[in-house]
Amino acid sequence: MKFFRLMVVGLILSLGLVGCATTETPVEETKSVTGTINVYTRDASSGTRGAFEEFIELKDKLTVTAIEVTGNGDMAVKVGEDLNGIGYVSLTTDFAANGITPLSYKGVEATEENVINKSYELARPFEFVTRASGDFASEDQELVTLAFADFLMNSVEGREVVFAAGGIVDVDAGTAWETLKANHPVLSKDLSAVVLKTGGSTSVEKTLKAALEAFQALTGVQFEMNHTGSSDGFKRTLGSEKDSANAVDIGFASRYFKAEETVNLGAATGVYCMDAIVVVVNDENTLLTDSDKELVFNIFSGAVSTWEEVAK
Amino acid sequence: MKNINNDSRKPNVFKTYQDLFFKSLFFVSALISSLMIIIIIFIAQKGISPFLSSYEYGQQNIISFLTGMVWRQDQAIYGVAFIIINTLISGFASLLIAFPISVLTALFVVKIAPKPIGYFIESAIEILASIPSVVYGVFAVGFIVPLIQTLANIFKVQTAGGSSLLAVILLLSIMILPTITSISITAIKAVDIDLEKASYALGASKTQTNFKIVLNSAKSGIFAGAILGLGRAFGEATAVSMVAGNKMFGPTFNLFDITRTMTSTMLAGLKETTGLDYDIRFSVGLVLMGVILISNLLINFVKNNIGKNHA
Repeated sequence: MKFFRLMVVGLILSLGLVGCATTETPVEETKSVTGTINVYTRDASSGTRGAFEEFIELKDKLTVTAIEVTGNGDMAVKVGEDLNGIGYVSLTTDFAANGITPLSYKGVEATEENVINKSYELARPFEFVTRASGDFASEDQELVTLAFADFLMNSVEGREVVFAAGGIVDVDAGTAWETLKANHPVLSKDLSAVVLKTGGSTSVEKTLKAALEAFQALTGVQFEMNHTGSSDGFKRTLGSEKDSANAVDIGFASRYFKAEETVNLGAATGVYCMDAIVVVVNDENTLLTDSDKELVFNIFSGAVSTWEEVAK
Repeated sequence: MKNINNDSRKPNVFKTYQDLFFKSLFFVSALISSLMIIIIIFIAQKGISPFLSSYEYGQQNIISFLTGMVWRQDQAIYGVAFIIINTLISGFASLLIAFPISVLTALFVVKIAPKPIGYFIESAIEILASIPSVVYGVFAVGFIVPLIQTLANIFKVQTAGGSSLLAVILLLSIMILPTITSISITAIKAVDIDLEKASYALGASKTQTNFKIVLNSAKSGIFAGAILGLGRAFGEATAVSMVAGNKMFGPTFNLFDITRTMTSTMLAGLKETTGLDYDIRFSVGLVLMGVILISNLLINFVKNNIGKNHA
């Protein structure tokens, strides 16, 4: 019992110490950013990172001290927690909720209008490609897939839901679905047994799901989404996995398809909306509001490594 | 019962078939379990392939892979040495924290605590042991990481928002604690009560008996727990990659610096990658299996040498 009494006393004592620690040395609220810059990046196979490094020509030159995060949300959380942090996220990210501030690029604010009118330059496309003509499970499957591609790309209704889900697209330039529908006689059939399978980039999921749900409400077609990453978009429609269990009808990429991804073989392909990448810093960092290619490159390549140098 | 000798032929035939049936059932089960070696063969074949001259994306140098101190997929530099060191540091440091707490908890639950309290703690530990790792990861991001940021502010060191080696160690300690504890509880429960009685009869106190007799007799089981715990620490990927920060070079010795473990390396971007960057992850897996094997041998060595003077 003595032992226990000792332990209890020890516990109380240590609690007292903890109390001292918090009262005697309060955490300083430093508003000015000083010290090293903590560069945050996505892992090397991320589509967002690929796009970002392409934009600022950072390929192979990223500073070796960069911190790798696991996803877009993770990036937002980590930079929001780190006063010295700088990172990049997609425009659809909720900045305020994560405590991060978006930087303008070359004086142009990162807004949807500026992405559509192409004045904001850190933007990337959401691309899709379908299987090759005649390579679908059935003829109906092919016609339905093409009808959906038309809906996604060209209809006002499709563009509206994509826009509402965060995709950047000019809704008013679309055509009413009533008009487009006439080109797809297959839609007059009972299509409740048809299952549209999609795959590829995970970045497109939010916008695509909204479009698929809208399409389902109009036509009764079922859908199945299995998204794993941009490189699977081509692979599972026209590439090495097109006949595997993972095969899909439409594949997506959150970047332009590469030259070796021969998407012209697909029955349809195109860009259905844009997504923008925004360089972000911590909320409390008031040092930086605007950015340009040189500054972003210097920070992310490690040429500028402290906030003091940025302030100059 | 009387006729059992007269009628014994028929049941005997039945019994022979019954025996034969179960014999083959056991054989098939054993065969299926041993077929799992295919997994190892598959990983080995895939993991070794980048170092063969016939490799389709260009042969890799195995020496620079095993001794390299930089891991950069974008420049196709793959060095695993610092990652091995980082993995060992985080794994053993968390074992160092979790092991004593676990063993003492187990001892408390089985031998010291009043029955209801012991039962309550045991159930709580079993629940903890079954929580999926991603839940621990979310907890670490939401609680451990900010805590370390606060700690770093007090000590006036800079961290990457709290993602650090220390965060990994604390997270892993919490994760392996229930594993080691629940196995230690089972091991301590299995200790022969006669041994304890003999110890008391010789005049030993309760504490002496607990430490010198109970723990020593349960040694095997407790170290099996330590091996499983260390295996979990080495093998944990999801939760670790959420707080490690994935440094591109190393090794990391500073508790407040970011780190990179073998599993977080294998996991990061696995689903989006192809070619060499995909295959090399199997090589990392192979190295990890080697590291775990050597660590287990080491723990076994420690087990065989600990408490020898009492045995």
